[in-house]
Amino acid sequence: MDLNEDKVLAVALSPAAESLEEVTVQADNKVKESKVTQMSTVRINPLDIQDIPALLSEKDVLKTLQLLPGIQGGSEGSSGFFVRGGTPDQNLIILDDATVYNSNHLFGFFSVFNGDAIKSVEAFKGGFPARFGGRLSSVIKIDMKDGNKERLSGKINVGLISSSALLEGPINKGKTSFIVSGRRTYADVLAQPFLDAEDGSGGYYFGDLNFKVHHIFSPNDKIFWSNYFGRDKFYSNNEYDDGDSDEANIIWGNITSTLRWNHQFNNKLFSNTSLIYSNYNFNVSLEDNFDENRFFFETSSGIDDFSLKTDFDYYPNARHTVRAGIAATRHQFTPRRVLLEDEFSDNIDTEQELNSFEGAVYLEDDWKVTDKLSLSPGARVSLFNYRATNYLNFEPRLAMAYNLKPDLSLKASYSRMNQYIHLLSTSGIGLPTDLWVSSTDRVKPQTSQQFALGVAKDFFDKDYSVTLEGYYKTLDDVIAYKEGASFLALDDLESGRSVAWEDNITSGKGWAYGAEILLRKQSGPLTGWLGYTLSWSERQFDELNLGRKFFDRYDRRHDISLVGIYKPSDRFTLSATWVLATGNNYTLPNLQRLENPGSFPIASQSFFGSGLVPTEDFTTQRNNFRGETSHRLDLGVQFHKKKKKNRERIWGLSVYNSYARRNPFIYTIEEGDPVGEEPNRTVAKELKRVSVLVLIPSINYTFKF
Amino acid sequence: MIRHLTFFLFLGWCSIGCIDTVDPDELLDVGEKTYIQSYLSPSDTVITVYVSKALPAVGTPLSFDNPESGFESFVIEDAQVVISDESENEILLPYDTETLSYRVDATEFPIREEADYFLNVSVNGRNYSASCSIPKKVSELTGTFTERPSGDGFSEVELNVAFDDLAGESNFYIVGAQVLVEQEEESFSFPLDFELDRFVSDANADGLTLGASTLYGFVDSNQEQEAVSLTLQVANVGEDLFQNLRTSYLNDFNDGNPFVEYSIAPNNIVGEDGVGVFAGYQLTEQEITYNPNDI
Repeated sequence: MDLNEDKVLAVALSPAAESLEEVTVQADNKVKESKVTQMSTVRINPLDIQDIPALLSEKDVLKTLQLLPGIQGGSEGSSGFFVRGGTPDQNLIILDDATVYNSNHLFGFFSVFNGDAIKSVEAFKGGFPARFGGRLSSVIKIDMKDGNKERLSGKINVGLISSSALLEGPINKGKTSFIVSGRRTYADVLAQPFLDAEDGSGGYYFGDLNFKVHHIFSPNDKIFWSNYFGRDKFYSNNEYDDGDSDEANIIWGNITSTLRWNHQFNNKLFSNTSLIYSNYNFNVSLEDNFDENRFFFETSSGIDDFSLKTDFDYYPNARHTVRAGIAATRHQFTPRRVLLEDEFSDNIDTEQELNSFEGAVYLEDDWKVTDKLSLSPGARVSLFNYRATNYLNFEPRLAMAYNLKPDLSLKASYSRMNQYIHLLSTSGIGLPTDLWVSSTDRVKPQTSQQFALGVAKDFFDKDYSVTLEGYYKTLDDVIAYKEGASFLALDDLESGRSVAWEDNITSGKGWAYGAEILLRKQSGPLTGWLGYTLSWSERQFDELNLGRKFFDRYDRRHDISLVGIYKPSDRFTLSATWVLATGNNYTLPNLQRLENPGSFPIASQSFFGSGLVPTEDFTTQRNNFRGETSHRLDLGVQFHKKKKKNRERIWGLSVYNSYARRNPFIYTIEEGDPVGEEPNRTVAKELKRVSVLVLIPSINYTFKF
Repeated sequence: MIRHLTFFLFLGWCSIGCIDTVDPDELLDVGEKTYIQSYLSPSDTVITVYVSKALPAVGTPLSFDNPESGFESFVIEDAQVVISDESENEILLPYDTETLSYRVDATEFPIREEADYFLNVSVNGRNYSASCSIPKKVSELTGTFTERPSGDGFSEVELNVAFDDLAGESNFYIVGAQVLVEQEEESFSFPLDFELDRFVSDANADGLTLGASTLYGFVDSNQEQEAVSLTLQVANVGEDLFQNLRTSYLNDFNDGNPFVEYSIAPNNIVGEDGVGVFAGYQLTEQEITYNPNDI
């Protein structure tokens, strides 16, 4: 055989029996933080997601991420998350290269990711490699499984409010595989027997479907086609005896599709080329038929992305790993479409559409300078075009690691990020009413710079690791609604006027800084981690809070997560999580004064209530109220029973918030009941705390085959 | 039946939240403050300063059976209130029990355009101060009416009030109008509501024509209509006054809407635990006549 070029040679082996001495295999696939240049990164094992106790047994990727330092949840039960002082829209969530715009079901109580179908989860909080861009605060990279090319296998999970099924296997053994998984709630079906038929029908459900096909053309060429479809729907239909009827629907959801070709040029050069489609849509419709008159109202908003990207990985020698690539995305935004049909007034059909282009090129190198020093320099150039406006930005990236000892390294990083699309949110809890909008000639891109410094220590013999990081991040041109504005205030439905969303937002600056520590054990019967975050997050807008600096809503000073998974045998899994977080900031009126009628000559219609003593509540400081500290303990146990032919049955029991802590969801101020005896009764306003999710047990059954 | 009921209760238990009353002491600033508000204008016949208590919104018991005693909880009757000008002329304002304010006739201390004024208030040994300038007056107002058919023979009438911005500086305006109704035995007027449009500023429009619109009403196109007199009003106000009125309007309008952030009240009172607004304004009024038959 002449070896003058790369050859592929298939060698067939004849089976023969051989008696060997005992062989001990020690596998270690856990990441050693001291060996990696990249900092501010966390990888989650999908199997851990299955073991950690979850609300109503709905295993959730994003809820698991919230248990890591630097990644904080929003409101109680919400899957929205805030990374190092950022906001939910500053997190780039990608599923097989496709951007997912709204990652929430049921107002954030559950995420859209079905844990059964996930192969890997990687979260970047800082030190972003140049291949990532477009968001300021984090990148959550989720990859789906490719499917089992050797045998058909699957899983069925039945829970309290939803069930899921997964099936994967070969289409062409060894060459082509598929994986399909689906999930649907059935709360609406279960509730039907309890609803009076005369009240009509109504309910809520959500569903997900993941589908992927993976094919190997040759050792040098592989292709996959990965798809996601998800929907949430509230609906209500009523028909009355007199023939009148009304119908209301609220629907939202995502669609993503990625077609990716992986090509190996030679043993040093690889490429991935992807064609990607991503969609998010939110729609509200109301229809009344009353006395033969019809009223129909529909509003919708959405975003469509069409992307093409190519990435190259080049390994010139053992000391360099070079990556380069180019990406182009066409964004089609529809921030608002209103359709109104009414017998008593003119019909209204208005639509806002924003089309824009976003592109980037990047180059990065993971360079092992010496045995102790590693550098990862990178650069990304991004371009955004909206009509006649162009934004061109240079984004330098740098990460470095120095091994003081083989198991101890010092790390530092710098990254500059730009974000060209924004989420208008008045609640921060991931409502479907949140609007995605584009940078325009009036709304500049958001930018950030982040410096981070850290230490990583591995205890090889015990398989522990400790990382300690400090960060400082500045944010520019971040946007927020002006005071008194929200998406509900944007339109005057009676006149059909549509106020431009740009007139209702304002831009400002932000600062976020803090420290995180993560102590992790990744192998053995007992695994888990302890994370602690100390952080500050501030904002300043000229048009908010009278131009003064203020603490951001999700400025949580302390955040602690303790996660433990104990597997004494392959028949039991015990798990527990304990979390503590200091309160969010809210704006509540803390003062009241007398109304002063007649003090200004131009009168306005006063909405003030007749109140016994006409007073007006007010405050002079935004986010003046810090809520109470939240903490809870979740417990879980799983009973495994392995059966023949690789089948397994698992019963799971869990309790969410097991000591029934009444953690705050929102606060309100309401008038209390009169106190005392007539004619000397008094009444005072009270601060009320609304808590949800107090002591929620659940059970689920899983069957694997 | 019992199984269904148990299931329903279980679902309810999962979904319904708990509501508890919380002691605000360590969570919310519940200290009492002194509230001071005064708007000065050359067109006013009386100079008025309101000095009262700003009590904690939460936990302050007010009378349920006797509202007058509730007022007393807020009143400050023994403050010393002095207004002075750039030439150090000053006047002491006495307390008026009828209006619960400190006031003096404007003839005793004329307020002049583009002049600076200073307020000093002493309450229980605490001193508060503030200053303001009196802005210029808008010269001329224009009112135009636009009719649009609204069905069944009626027309919707919109009033637009327009004026020229005073160029070269940041300006804030409040727009309004009063409709005069003359009847045989008496006459009265009522204000038109410009809603949020009443708050106009010259941001990105310095020196241009500004304005605000509102729905005047509906007229029957098939019938002869009587002419109506209106008084158009535009006040050029200090920014703190503008924000104060706008904040009150927004918070009241959005009351109960969980999607809207609470608006922040301005404060230009200097002194510990002092809050409020001391500002100046100039009012321009113009009478016009609306004759529906002419449109």
